[in-house]
Amino acid sequence: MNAFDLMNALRDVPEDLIGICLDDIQTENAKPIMNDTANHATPIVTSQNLSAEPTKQSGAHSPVFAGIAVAACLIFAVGFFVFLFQSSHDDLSVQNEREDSMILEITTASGTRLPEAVKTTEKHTTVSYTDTTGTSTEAVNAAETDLIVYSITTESDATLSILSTTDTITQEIRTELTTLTTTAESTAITTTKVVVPHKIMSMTLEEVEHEGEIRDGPVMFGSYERRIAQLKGLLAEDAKRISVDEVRQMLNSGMCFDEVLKAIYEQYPYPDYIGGSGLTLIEYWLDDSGNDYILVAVESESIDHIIHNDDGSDIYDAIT
Amino acid sequence: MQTDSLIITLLQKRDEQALQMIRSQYGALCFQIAYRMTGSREDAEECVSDLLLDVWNTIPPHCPDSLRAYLTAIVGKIAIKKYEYSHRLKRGGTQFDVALDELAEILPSSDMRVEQEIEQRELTAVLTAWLRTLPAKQQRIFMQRYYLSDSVQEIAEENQMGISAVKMMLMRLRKKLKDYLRKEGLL
Repeated sequence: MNAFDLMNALRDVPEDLIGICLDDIQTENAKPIMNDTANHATPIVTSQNLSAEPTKQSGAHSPVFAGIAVAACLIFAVGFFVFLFQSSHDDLSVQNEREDSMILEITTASGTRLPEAVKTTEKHTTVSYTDTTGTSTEAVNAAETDLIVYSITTESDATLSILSTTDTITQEIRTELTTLTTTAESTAITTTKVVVPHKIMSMTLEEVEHEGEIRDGPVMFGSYERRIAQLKGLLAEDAKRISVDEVRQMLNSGMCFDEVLKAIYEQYPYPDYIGGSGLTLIEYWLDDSGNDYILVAVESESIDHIIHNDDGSDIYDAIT
Repeated sequence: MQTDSLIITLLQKRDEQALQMIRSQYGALCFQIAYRMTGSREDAEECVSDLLLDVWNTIPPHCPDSLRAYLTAIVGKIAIKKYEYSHRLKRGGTQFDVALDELAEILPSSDMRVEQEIEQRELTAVLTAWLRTLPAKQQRIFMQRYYLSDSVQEIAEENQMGISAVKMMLMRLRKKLKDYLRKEGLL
C-alpha cells in the first residue's frame, strides 16, 4: 500500500463523509484557488469561463448585454422546460404504444428470458417452435436473419410473432409479419443464435493488449484479460463463462457486494475486460460477441446485465 | 438537488445536454480539485473532460444519490492517475521507472488487477470505519485536506482556527490513521 492507494480509497468512502467537506461549497461558483495560483503563471478558470473564452465574458458587465443575456436565459429556460415536457409526453405515448403491443408478447427466440416489455433484436438462422400439433421448425432463412422479438408475459399460451426479418444483415429490413401460435412454454422455443465474435478474438496478443489501451479512445485504459490469458495459454479457449443466473444466485444467497466480487473472481479470475479512467469497470461477457455482458462497477457496487443492440442502444437490467 | 435529478434523468435518456449542465454546474469545482492534485491547468482540464466521458459511460446503469460526491470522487481518481502518469513521464528516463515497468509486465495482470480492487475495497472499508470514529470537525478537516486538497491556510480560515492548530490536528490525525491501519493489519 502506498499514498496513492490511500488517496484512491478516500475517493470511495460513503457519500455522507464526502459531503462533510463539500457542504459549504457553492458548486456553481467554486471558490477561487488563489493560493495555488501563486506558483503557476496560468490563470485558473472558474465555472464562468470553463467553457468560454475570457474575452467573451468581459462584455457581460455591460448593462445592455446583461439585459439581453437575462432575456436569452429566460427564453432558453422556458424552451428547455417545454422541451422536457414534450419529451416526457412523447415517452409516455411510446410507453402506451408498447403496452398495447404487448398482446403479442413472446419470449426471445433463443429461449432466454429477457425483462418483460423489453424489445430486442437478435440474429438467428432458424426458428424452432412448438405449435398445437407438435414441434415444427421454421427455416426462416438459410442466411442470418434479424428477428425483432418481445418478451413473454404468459408461459401457458404464448404467441410468437416474427415481426420483421431480413435475408441478410446488410439487406434493408423488410416486414414479414408472421404470427405463430404456440402452446408451449418459452423454453420450448429454440433457435440457433448466431454470435459474431468480437474483433479481439481474431487478434494477436500484442494487438489485443493495444486494443485494451485504446478502447473508447485514450481514456478508457484497461485490458482484455480473458483473451490475453487465452492467448498466453493460461486459460482454455472454451473456458466456461459466468451466467446471469449464477450472479443472481450469489446475491440471493445473502452475499454482499464484496463477497460476490470475491466469489466471481475465484471462479472466473479472468474477466473479459477490466478498465476505466476514474471508475473501475469489470466486464464478464456472456458470449464471444461482447454485446451481452455483466458489468461490475466496483466503486458504485453495482452489477448489471447489459445487452448492446446493433443500433447502438443498450438494454440495462440491474442485477444488484 | 433538483438539478442533479434533472441531469441524471437526461443522462439516462442519453441526452448530451446533461454533460453541458454538469460542466456549468460542477465544472469549476471538479477543475479545482483536479488542478490542486495535478498542479497543471492542462491536466486538470483533461481530468474534467475524462470525467464527463466517465459519467456518460457509467450513468446509466449507475444512479448516484449525490451527484456532487460522485463527480468529485471520480475526478479525484482521474487526477491521481494523471498525476502518477505525468510524474512517471517526467521521471521517464530513470532506470528505476523502467525497471518497475519491466517487473510489472511479468506479473499476471488479471490476478493483480482484480485482487488489487478487492484490497482497495478493504482499505476503503477500514478508512471509512476510521473516519466514523472521528468527531465531525476532525472528519471535515481531514477530508478538506486529503479529499479536496485544500491548503492548510484555507482550512484554518474556514474552520476559524490557527494555521499551527490545523497542522497539529492533521499530524495527529495521520498518526491516528497509521495506528488504525496497523491495528487492522493493513500496515
